[in-house]
Amino acid sequence: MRGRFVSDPGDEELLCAYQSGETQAFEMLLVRYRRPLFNFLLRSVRDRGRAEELYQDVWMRVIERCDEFRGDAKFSTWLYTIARNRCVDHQRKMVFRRHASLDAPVPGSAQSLGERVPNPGPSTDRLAMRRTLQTRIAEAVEELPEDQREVFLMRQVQGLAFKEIAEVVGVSANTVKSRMRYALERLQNGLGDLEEHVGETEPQKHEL
Amino acid sequence: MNCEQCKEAVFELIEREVADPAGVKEILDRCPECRALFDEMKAALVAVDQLPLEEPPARVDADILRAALMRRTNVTRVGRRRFQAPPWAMAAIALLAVGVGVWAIPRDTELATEDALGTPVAESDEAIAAAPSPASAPAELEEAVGEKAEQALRLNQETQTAPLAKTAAKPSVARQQRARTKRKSAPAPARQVEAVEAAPEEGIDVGAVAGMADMAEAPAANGRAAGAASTVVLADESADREANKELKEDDDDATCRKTVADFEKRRRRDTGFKPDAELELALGRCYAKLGDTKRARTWLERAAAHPKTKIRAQIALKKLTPN
Repeated sequence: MRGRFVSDPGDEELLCAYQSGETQAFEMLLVRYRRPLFNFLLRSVRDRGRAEELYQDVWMRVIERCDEFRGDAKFSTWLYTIARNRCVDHQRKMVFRRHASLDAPVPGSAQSLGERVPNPGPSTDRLAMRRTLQTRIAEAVEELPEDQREVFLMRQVQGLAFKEIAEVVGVSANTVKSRMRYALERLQNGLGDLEEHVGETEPQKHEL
Repeated sequence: MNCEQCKEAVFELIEREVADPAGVKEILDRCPECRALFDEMKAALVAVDQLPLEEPPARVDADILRAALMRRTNVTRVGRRRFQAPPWAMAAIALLAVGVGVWAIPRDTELATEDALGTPVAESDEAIAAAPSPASAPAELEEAVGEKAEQALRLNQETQTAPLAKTAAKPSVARQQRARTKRKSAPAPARQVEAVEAAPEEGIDVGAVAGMADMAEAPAANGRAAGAASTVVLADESADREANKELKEDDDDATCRKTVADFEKRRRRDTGFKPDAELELALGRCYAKLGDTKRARTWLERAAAHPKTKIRAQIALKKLTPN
């Protein structure tokens, strides 16, 4: 099967192959999108267990509905539309939005949020600094308003074009760009105190 | 480019800067406000570039792939059904053929038989039905198709790599078992019976021996074999599934009874015993296999509540629901 695709096949081509019964084509799609999709869901719902559940649901829906995909849109747009809808459903199901208390233990961790986010002081341990920085960024992203966060994640984690994001979200491309700008401004403000440390750690390469 | 346009195109400008730094500089030099926005966005993008990416659990990926594989199997099965007459039609044809066969026997022959054997006519009907008649034609046809599929399966297996060849040995045993079952339940041609009897001792592939002499030479040429296998791929997969299914059926039933009995015994001993997700799934499947749909549903629904067993339980639940 892998041999059948001499060059790097497009997502839509892989989905067509899967529609005709080639499971390995699906596997290739899964490999491509598993990480960004999972991180999109994880940062959207802010709970690892829930994110795993939604991640499974999204792929199950892709499996169940792959025959409905006619290639009018890009596969990535379709996938993220499903993922976003699942997130919206999830948010609706929640009676109220949880705001994690700094004193409350973080799910899956014995530490409270306050303990996990130390005030970043000067440190000689670069690795520890990087971890702190990453944690702060992740939390800052999770604190973004929902409409900005989803745009930011689709752009930054998956690398979708603004036009594609506009299709997924159902607004104009200019609105998407504005949301991205607001998100970055907010992040920049929130992470201002870390700015001096950003250059000290090596940037992480995103495998997309 | 005015300020509003610059604001809208700030991300494009950031991307463009790599290829055309002078052009971007020229645009930004016209307006300090645009320059500030550009720098701010660029700095923010650098900062968030270290957003950590986490890995989804491998077991979830494995479950997803399993579900994808099952869908593919279903697609193949549905595809094959298009070429098959529905079961009720086959049954109707068989009944009609039996009826015609019975009707065609002269009355005096029946009486003579009754007189000679001293048995009622109704009893001798069994013998008539068992004798070669037009009714056996569909069965023979099915047998031939089955054997072709088995042959293709065998040829296909021979083209596989060594590890696959190990797993491919199973259908062969299944075929032997199926052949034995068929021998018990229905009269088979003498040649086939001989082959079946000879096979277990000699470890011969019964499906290949019991007929289809014209295909016996096929394994000699691997390329041809692969071609033959691909042309009957639907039959091949179906035969594989059937063979595996039949092999497992008896064992599965026994295992299921044991699983359920063990569980019930344990729960009698310890009323507070709560099975884990895997056991819930196993119980659901076993009850389903043993025909207790209600209990099967209860356990499968419980298993579906666990992320670990969710997909498998949902698949089993779907099987419970009649289409």
